[in-house]
Amino acid sequence: MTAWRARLSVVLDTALRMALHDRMKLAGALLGVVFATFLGAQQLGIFLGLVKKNTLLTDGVVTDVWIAPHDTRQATASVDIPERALYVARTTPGVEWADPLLLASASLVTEGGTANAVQLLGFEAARGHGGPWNVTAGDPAALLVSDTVFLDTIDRAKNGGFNLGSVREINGQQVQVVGLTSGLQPFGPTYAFADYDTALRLLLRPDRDPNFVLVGVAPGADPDEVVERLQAQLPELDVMTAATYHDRVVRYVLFETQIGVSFGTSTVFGLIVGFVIVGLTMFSGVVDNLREFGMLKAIGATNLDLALILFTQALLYGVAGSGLGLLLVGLLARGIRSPELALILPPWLVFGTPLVMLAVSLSSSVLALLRLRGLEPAMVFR
Amino acid sequence: MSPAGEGPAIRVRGLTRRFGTGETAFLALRGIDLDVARGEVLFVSGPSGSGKTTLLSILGCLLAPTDGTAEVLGQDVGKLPERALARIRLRQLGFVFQGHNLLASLDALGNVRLPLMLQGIPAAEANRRAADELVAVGLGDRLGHLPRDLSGGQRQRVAIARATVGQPPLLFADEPTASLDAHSGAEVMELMTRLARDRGTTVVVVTHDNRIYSYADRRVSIEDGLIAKGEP
Repeated sequence: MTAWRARLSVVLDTALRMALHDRMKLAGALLGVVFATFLGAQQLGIFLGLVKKNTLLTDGVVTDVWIAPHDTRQATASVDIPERALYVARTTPGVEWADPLLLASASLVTEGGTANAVQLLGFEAARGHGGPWNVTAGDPAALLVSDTVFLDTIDRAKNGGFNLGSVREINGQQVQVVGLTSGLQPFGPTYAFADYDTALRLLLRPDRDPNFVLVGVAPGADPDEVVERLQAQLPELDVMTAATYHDRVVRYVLFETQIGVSFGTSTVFGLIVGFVIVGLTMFSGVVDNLREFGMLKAIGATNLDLALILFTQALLYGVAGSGLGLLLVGLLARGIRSPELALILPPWLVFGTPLVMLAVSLSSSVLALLRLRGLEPAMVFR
Repeated sequence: MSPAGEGPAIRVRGLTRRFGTGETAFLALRGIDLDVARGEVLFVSGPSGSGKTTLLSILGCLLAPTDGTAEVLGQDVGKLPERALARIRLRQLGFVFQGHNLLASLDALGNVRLPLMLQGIPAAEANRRAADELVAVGLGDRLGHLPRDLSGGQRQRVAIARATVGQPPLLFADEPTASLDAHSGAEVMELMTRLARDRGTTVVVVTHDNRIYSYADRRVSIEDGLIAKGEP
């Protein structure tokens, strides 16, 4: 055991000293990993930010089941669904509650006359389902008063610096701001909240048809069974659990828009560049130091020892490079983080990226290892 | 393997080494017979391309013979797998190369302790023995110097210390004075042969530097892959 420890320690020590000795190659390999890490993590981070924006509604609205128009793949304003769906839901076994939700674009006009778009969410304020979240001021119950709204502070400056009590126009009708939310900007204009009746009026709806019906499952009932029952009664609509709706939106962003392809390509490209740079650097490091490796083999080092040297160097490049790369991405994320442009670095990305870069570095050392495997130790005499 | 063990340190019979195949095949060694006694200092000389380095490579367990037998310290090294050869090189052989072949990133102490630690000797003991060996070659004040900070002669002395620190019974040197001036060359040979004689080490030196022939117990010459006539 002691003998193995001594052997391992000298192999690791030699590997690190060889790697640190050639500063140019070290810089080259680190640059490759830093670049790959930065590009990969930054692209994934922004992609996750965009996904989060797209799922803002499904993540924020508290409900067990959504009833939506047929073939709904996004969480955006869409066609109406018949009000009948609401009553069908309320009378379906296993349903504790069901409430309508409106989602439609509206025009908010400032005191100065500037018009900006908002996405108006109309919900039954008396029941609360589908109401505002991330509330920073005001009580959602205040929306029970006609012609009142909650606005999001992201657009505060753009919309004339409103506050509680401010009066604005939505679709030409005066409303009073009675509450504020923060950070509720999906992929598009910010959300504004109003009671269902107020929203119907502001949106000039001729009927009471909602865009969605939110369904709460009764305690003890199986959500999937409730979904099946509702779907059987409403075959022309999509009935799905909140998780299913969330996944459907994510899948849409990933596979049916250019966003997934674009960010995925950039990430893969970054990994390939890192792989190539580290691989070439290590290979040229072996070629440049062939006599040193030959000498090691001549004095009794085995192919396993030489492989450990290369793997240790690859680990150094992977750990140090990904650490530096993540630090840069972290700084970038702090610098640009805002509700409009989120770069999200969840723990799995922070911890997963170094693992991926280690795998990239280790696999890119294989070419150099193949060169060493065929190395004739007798070359030291030439 | 003790230098005082049974039989010669090296026993070679009909040693042949061919490079390439077909019409381009080239016979570097053509059936060499050679014995080297334990504790003997043997010089192998000959013109470039005569086969002396090939002979050294086979005896040093770095190259397999095509035909014939090469017994090194009682083991037929032509029949051993690479792993066993690596173990022999590590524990029983020392090498001094023409170019010193030190690791540029390791200081003198790091280079010299390398074979000891590869043998599994703990760092503290390896450091102590490596430092003693560097003192023995006159570099006690250069332990922490990188090869680039040493002169050619000093580098070769570090290489000798690396080759002898494990006290191997057999030491091979390939043109150890080729890149040194006459004074440094003499110093290096003096040192190498003194350490070898003190420890009873068998030494095989390949050289065509006639300035150092006086350090040999015996000298053989190779020409066209054969021991020149008149030399055993």
